[in-house]
Amino acid sequence: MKYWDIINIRNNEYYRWQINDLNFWLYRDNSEWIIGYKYKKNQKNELIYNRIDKKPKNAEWVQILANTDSNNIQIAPGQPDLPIMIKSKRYLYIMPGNSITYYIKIPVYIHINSMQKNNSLNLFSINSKKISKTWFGDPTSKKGILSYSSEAILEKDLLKIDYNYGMIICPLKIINKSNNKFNFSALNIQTQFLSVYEMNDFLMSETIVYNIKKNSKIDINIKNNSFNKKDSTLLSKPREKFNKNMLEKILLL
Amino acid sequence: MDFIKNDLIRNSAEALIILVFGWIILRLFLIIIEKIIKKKFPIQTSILIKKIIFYTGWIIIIMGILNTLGIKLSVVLGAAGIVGIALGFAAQTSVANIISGVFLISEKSFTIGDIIQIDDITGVVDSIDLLSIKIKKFNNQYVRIPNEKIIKSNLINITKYPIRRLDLNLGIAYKEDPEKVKSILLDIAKKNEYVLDNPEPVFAFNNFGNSSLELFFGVWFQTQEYIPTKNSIMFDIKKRFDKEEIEIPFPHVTVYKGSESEPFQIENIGKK
Repeated sequence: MKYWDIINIRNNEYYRWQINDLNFWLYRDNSEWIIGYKYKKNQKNELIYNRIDKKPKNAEWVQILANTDSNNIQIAPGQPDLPIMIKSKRYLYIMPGNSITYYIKIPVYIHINSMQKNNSLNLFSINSKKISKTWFGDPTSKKGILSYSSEAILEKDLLKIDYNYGMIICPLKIINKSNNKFNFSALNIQTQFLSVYEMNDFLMSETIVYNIKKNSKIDINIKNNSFNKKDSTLLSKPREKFNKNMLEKILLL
Repeated sequence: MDFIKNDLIRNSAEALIILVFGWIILRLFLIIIEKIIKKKFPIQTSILIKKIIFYTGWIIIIMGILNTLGIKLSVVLGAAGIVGIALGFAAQTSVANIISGVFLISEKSFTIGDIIQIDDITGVVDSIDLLSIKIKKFNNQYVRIPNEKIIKSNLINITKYPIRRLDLNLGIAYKEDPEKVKSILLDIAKKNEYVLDNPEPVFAFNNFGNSSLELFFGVWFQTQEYIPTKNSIMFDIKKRFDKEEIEIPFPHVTVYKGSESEPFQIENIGKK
């Protein structure tokens, strides 16, 4: 069974998942769904799913009333609920006339969905890792954006990435057509415009293309060409329809 | 006599019709105006416009009723002028409040729903009216503050910006290493879930105090998360300082007794 497949759960039994640092439990009592969660550092970098006998201790619990006929649920990986600001661990300069694709990792946002005949009902959503937050923009202005913050080493070789299954790989293609060197210190990734695909045991998103023009203006686009769509399965759609103007406006904050 | 009686009944009926229809028209007009101004103006300006229309409407209705009842408006206005002068002296404060209210609304330094602090009063702005603003304090007390007082006081709008800084003044014992404490504080901020990474936390070695080395530490957080941020950062600092055995001294005074002085030499010279 694949981790993100639809599974059938029984009434009055506890099920446990572990994805990144998030441990969560699901218990169904007919129309009532009880979900518990707790964050604990996951050293082994593995995903766990099993059925357990006892109610776990020291977890936060939520109780959801949803009268559904189906016993099928899906744990769907999605993009985080806020944009994510990626800071490079090393200063990166891209000289004029150069272009490159770097890969970064984004922790999945978990959606617990009750799967019905024609649609799915989202019961609960939660981050799979506790990520610190940051303010992108001027603190004395309302124009800034609250974002997650993460430091990353930019890898140009996909196979060299220290990958675990609770992470989404997002390719960033940077093309510098200007006459100035491009200084990459931080980029705000607008996750609301990205999907999550599963491909050969990897979770991937579309490629974000940063095209630095001759006049040093940056043109941003989201492209699907980073991998062959035939070999991949769409697991979650973008939360918002792609808005190019908004992306560029955000970059210029 | 019957003629006068009939006339009075007819006038009263007309006055009643003016009252009822005037009230209905005014209500409808206010509903239409509300829909138009709601999109164009901030909430406090639209409330003010609605109130001005409401009071003006009622003045017109009352004048219409008085006219229908045969009461001459010139007489009423003349009497009102005399009464107005008398009231003017008595209502100076109210007028000052109204003018202050207009300035407050045009300044837009706060709006309904903002958390503001005026002197020692802190709370959520519930309404902005012509004479006063009303604040709901966090202990569920309702406070009315005259507009004139607000104009004259220093007002802090706590929720003006989406993020703000929590300023902490800390004291550590003279034996401690302030550089080590700085790195510990920055680590605490980095691990705290409410503290923002950017803008970065601010650290300053403020002063050599009487009982301690005085440090300043400021962390940025989302404005609406004041209580969880303050509580969690204070708990984190206390726990971590205890773990690292960093002493937070309480004010103390060292009293130096000095050395014992020799008694005065006394010589009994007696009588010669």
